[in-house]
Order: sequence, then structure tokens, then C-alpha cells
Amino acid sequence: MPPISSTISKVFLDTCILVSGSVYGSYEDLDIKLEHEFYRKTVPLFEIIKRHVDKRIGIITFTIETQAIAVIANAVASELEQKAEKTLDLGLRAKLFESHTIFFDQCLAHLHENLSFLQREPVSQIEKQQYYLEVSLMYSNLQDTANRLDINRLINANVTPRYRRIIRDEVYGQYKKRYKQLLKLKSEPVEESDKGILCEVIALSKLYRRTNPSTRMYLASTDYHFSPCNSEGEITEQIKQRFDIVCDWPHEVAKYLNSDGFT
Amino acid sequence: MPIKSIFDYINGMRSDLNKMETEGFVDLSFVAKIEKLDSELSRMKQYWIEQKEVSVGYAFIFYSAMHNSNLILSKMRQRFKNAKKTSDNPGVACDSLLIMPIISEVYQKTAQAAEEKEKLNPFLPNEMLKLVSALRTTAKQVGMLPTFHEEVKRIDKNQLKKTAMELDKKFVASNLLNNI
Repeated sequence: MPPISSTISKVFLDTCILVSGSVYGSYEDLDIKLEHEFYRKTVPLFEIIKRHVDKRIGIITFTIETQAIAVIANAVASELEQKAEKTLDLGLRAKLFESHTIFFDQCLAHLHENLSFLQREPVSQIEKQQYYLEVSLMYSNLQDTANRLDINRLINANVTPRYRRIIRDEVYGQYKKRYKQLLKLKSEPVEESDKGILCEVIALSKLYRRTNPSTRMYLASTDYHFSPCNSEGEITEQIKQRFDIVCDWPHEVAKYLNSDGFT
Repeated sequence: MPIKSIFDYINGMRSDLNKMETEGFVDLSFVAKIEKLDSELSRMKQYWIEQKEVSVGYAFIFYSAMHNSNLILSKMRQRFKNAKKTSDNPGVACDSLLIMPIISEVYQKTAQAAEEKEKLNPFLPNEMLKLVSALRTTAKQVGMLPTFHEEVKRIDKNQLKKTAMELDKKFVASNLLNNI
């Protein structure tokens, strides 16, 4: 009997999502609140993943898990470092260490709780390397496009001279918004670690599609090297076209999952 | 107490716990042993606060390991003291048996880091983070991890609030991934 094929959805969570989803804590009686800037955007996604834990929707790799712990540790430690290095008062130093470890432990506890709902998939170095060249080439082409991007030239080519002076500021703002992802790429080129993460997502999507060709693969990220930044995104589009992977912010990925039937 | 003696001491405590589990009887003299170990770990915790030969970041990880061990031992002590009243006999001994080997390993790695100082094995802090997570998870499963409110009871609330505000800003303002 042939295997029953049905569409499945998988969401690869980038490091930033695990971190954002783990840094929170509200202790009203103490009038204390700590919350990552993007924590609320991760909530709908984690809720769906938890509700459908038997479907193994949320996936991570060893790289992501290790990076997430390191990011939280480094953020707390660097904040402590700034304060502790200034003081010679051992009593104050002890208080600083103590207060920082309390929040650090809370964040790590949340991180482990989140990890318990995610499937950790192994991806070998060889599998990753298979896609490295294509990924590198894609970013390199996009980087060239970004470097060539000249908003003034675009305005001159598309707006008649008569209106150029009057509406230049407005049009300039519109173009800047339209090409935000490329402009960000121009100022901050993609890092090797991001390329590595994308290679892992591609390797896993190929693996899932071998057994279920209609697998929908998402990459939830707040990083503009993958996800759009409030505009159309050339990088996001390229990843979709080349690898059939949809990159977006966590709350948007939650909406896609809703459409896929996960409520 | 020299480091080797502390390991012997922890091993002795594990034997005591095994005996209590087998005999189904909680020996209250064990409370004094927990207190002694607790004070040794506090000494090590203080060492990391004062340590200047390694970065604050590294010192913090080992400090945090000792802080968590202290927390768990305080809960263990409390449960042993109340074992008769709460019919926690020999449950507390069985639960402690799951915790003590991890505390022993946490201490062993922290002592190793204290010896190595600037020659510190670069993988040790990460290993320690994982070990502390395992310690907290196990302690939580067997009811030996104090709640957040129990933990902050004796802590300077103003400092706590200040730290929360600063960390809050930190997690908003920076691209943290660039720092790893």
C-alpha cells in the first residue's frame, strides 16, 4: 500500500526567536518586569507549537540551541561586567552577581521549557556544506544588488524632472522603505553563522520533502537577513524562490500555520 | 576544607542517603552535614565574586553554579528538617540521592576552573551552563528548587529592580547575536 501523503508544516526557529521567547518575567508584587522587545511576537507561534506538540512542528538544531544559551549568557554577563568592573566594593559586587544570576536562571528555565516543545534535528557538516555554495552565491548576488542600489538614480529614472524637486523627500522615504532589506544588507552584510543556519534549514527541508513532498517549510526569524523588515524583501523572496522556504517574523508564521489548519 | 576532602565529604553524604533510603528512616543529623557543605559552597561562591584573574563573564558562570547549588541545598535542608511533620520519609532521602551526584560534578568543575584560572579550558563555561541546567531541572522535578519568590525573599529588592530595568534595556537595544 502506498504511504498516505498529507501536507505537513515545519517551522525552523532561528536563535533570535528562542532568545526572544525566553526572556520575560513579570513579578507584579515586586514591581519588576523584564521582557524582550520581541517576546510578544513569539507568543502566538509558541502557543501553536505547544498545542500541536504531537505534530513536531517546531524544530531547531544543536547550533541554534547552543547559540541561544550563549546569547542569553553573554547578554547578562556583559551587563554585569559593565557594573562589576567599576566597583571595588565586594558587598556591592556580591549583590550585582546575585541579582543578575536570578534573572539569568529564570531566562534559562524559560529557554529549557521552550526547548521541551521543540524537536532537535541532527544536521551533519557534510549535509550543510552541500548547500553552502548556493547560499553564498545568493547572498553575494544580493549584496552586489544592494551595493549598486542608488535611490537618487531610481528617483531620476522614475520621476519626471518637473516633480522631482517637489516630491523628492517623500519619494526618497518611499524607496527607502521599499528597499529596506537590501539597504540593511548593504550596511550589515550577512554573517557566516546566518549562512550556516540557512544551510541547515535547506538540508532539513530536503529531508522532510523526501518523505513528504508537500511539506511546508517556514523559517521564523526577526533577522532581516532572512525575514522582511516591514516591506517586500528581496532576500526573503530569493529564499522562497530558490529553496521553497518561507521566512517571516514569528507572529506572521503563526498566521501561516493558522491557514495550514493549526489553530 | 581542601577540595579533595570536600569530594570525600559529598561521597560520605551519598552513602548516608543510600542508608536512609534502604532503612526507610531519615536521620536528622544529616541537616548539619548539609549546612557544612553549604558553607563550603558559599566560600567557593565568594571566591568567584572576588576573582579578578578571569573575566567577569566567566566568573559569573561559576558563581551562578555555586549559587544554584546553595539554593537547592537550602531547600534540601528545609525538607529534611520538616521530614517528620510532612511525612517526607524517606522521600527526601531518595530525592536528595538524585541531586547529590550533580552537585558533586558541579563542584568538581568549579574547583577545576578555580585551579585553571586564566588557563581555563574554553569549553568549561559552556559545560557548566548545561550542568547547572540539568541540576535545576532535576531539582525542580523532585521538589528541591525554591520558587522565584522563595529565592528573592532575602535579596535586596532595589538592586533586583535596578538589574531588571538594565537587562530590559539590554534586551531591547542591542543585536545580541553579534556578540557571540
